[in-house]
Amino acid sequence: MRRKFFGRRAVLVCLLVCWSASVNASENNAARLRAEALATMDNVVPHGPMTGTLAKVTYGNDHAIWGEIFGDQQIAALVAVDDSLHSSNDWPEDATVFLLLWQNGWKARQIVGKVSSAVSTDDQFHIDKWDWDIKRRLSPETYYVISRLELYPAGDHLSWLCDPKSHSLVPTGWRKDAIPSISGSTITFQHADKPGFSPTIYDVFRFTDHPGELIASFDTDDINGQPSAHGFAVRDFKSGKIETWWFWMKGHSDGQYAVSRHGPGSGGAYPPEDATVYFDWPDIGGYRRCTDYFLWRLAGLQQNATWAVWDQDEKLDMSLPRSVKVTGLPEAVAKFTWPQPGAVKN
Amino acid sequence: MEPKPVSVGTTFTGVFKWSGVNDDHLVTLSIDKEETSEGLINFSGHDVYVDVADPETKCIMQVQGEINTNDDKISFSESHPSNAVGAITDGSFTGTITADLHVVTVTWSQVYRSLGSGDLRLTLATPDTPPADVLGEVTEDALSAQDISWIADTSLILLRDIDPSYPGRIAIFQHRVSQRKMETDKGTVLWGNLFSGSEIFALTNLAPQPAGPFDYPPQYLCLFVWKNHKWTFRQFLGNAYGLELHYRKDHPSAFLQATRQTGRYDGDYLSWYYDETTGQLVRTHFEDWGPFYLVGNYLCLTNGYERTSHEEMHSIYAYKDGKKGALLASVDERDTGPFEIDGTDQKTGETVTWSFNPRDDNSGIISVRALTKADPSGDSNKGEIKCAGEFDTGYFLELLTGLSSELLNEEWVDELPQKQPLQRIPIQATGSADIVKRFQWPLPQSTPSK
Repeated sequence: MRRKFFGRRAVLVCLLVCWSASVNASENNAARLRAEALATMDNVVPHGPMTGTLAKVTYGNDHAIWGEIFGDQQIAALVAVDDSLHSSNDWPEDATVFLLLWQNGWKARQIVGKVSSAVSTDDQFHIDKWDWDIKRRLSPETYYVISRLELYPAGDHLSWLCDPKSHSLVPTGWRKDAIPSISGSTITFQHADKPGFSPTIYDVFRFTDHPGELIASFDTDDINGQPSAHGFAVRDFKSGKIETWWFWMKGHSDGQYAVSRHGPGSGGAYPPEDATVYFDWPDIGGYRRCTDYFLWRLAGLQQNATWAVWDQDEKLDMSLPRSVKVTGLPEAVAKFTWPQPGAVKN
Repeated sequence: MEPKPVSVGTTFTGVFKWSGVNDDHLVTLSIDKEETSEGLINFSGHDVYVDVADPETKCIMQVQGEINTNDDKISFSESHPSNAVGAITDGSFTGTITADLHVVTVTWSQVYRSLGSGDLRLTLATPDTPPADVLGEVTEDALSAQDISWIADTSLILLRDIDPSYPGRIAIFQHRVSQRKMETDKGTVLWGNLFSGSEIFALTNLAPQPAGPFDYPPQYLCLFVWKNHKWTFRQFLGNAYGLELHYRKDHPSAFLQATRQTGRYDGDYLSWYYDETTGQLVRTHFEDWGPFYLVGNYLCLTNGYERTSHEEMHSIYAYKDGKKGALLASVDERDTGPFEIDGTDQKTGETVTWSFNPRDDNSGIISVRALTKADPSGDSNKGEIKCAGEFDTGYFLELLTGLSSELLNEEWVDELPQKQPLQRIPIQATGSADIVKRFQWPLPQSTPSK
């Protein structure tokens, strides 16, 4: 009995020692990373407001973005500290993000979480390309942190709101299998079913301060112009109902499209053609402009939403056809003819 | 009497006309280097061709030539075209130059005569000659002191929030690679003890917004130093960005490399070394087209800006104490398979171009020719080889010139690893005795004499 008792106590002591060592190691690691986050911002002393611009700092494998990231006058820095031990032979892995606030000196405020510290392709990492960023919604001015801006690398697409009330970062709770982008009053989630050359799928939702109802879901099969019909599920902006449409290019130019309400077609065949749409474009070429046109006519979506472009990013000027003629299904004629009968062409 | 030298910086301009073809090109020939000895002027430089019918199409090539002032003869050849499309380098210009060295009249003749010949007449450029930038060359920044003062003041804005004494003491970093970088929409700053262990430097790069998709506004680069708790302007370095710092154990120990794009397919590379006595950055002028890298005592140059890149080129020069030495070899690989190795024959000391042309029939057989000055077509020394194992151009560089294949890796290396004997790959060689002797491996077993 005595021996057994000692045995149990020895196991208990060992467990306690191990747990304590593990806690210490974890705390030591967190302390090391925190010190490194602060060291990354060494030499950076903000003098006055940044007037809407954010600055990026690189120090070794660590990256920081600083400025007025809450939309108010609080200057803050998000520092992604590389978790590997800076051996030059190590690939950078996920980085731990710290939130620092400038309060007459940099103060560590929060351990935010993990972001992808470098863009990865099939066989290498590109540490010069950051795979996380702060994105800005213009109205109301709001900042979000997005991790993994490339579609195919494995791993979750995490996102946080830069919350001006608490001056902290709050997980958005958005789906993790897609890259979010906010444009005006819509949010688009861009995702692929599987890695590699699978079609990119865009799900567009209404957005106030969180995603609302689905407006459209569509794929863009832009791979070598393969003969397949694009499926569009869109909420008709007049009736409010979800409708499905199928489109495919006829021939090799974007001058003619076939339309069907009876997709997707079986065994790789096209579905029955219900209508033909004839575009008269003012110039040659234009990547995806027919897709933009159909989504605009069906759901009233501006192309920034359908191209997964943030408000802050480049402004896209929608390419409009000179005219669109439609033959066949009356519903298609009514929806896609342009200019619409009776409309004054501006 | 020693001839009047064709000095560095001399420029000739003129027109090249293909025989029987209406395809004229404006040509500017610039002398970058010359050596004069006993009536012979050996020169190197570069020339620029601009298609008269399509001035957007131009080509820059390296030039190597000789002027004999005893009989007023001139000859030169071209290599490393910036635009490989339509560029022919398998040949040379030969002709005359006037005694005052002002007018050059030469004819182009080439290895493959069926490709035709052409005439080039060049005259010495005078101050009235249109400036080189008419032909699309990159000119040095010509800015007034007032302009530079404005650039320095504007660059200081980039340094507003950088204080090397924060958080408590001046940070002399443990190692130079711990340099820091800050990017804003106004420009980029690189700072740290970038060039010497005792001073904190900042390189500032202004980044004006381009006016359109093919606008490349200058991104002016300045050097500042942290002195008496503030940033002090030290040097204006002109339009240069895409900064890279490299360090070596010998002297000069710190190099700064940069680039500057001036057109959709145009631009150049430039570099400086840090002069510890003056505390200034000094242009190396090592580049003749693309960027360079140093490997031990070798300086290697690569491709620069070009419209379409179908060739990968490496020129290997000797390097010592910050000085670029003689050209030792050059390797030119085309993406269609053929490649050339120019170098000095280890046995004869003669300059040879080894030309490798894989057959189109997927047989794995490669035609090889050794082109020399005496035999520019290589007809007297040719053959075919078939490699049993995998090979690359580095293998043939080592085999033919004795230079390490590591020189083609495009990486800065302080010292080359100790040279290992070349691991020969099995090769079947036929043709001239020289070709067989150089490439055949294993060597045929000699029949024991009875």
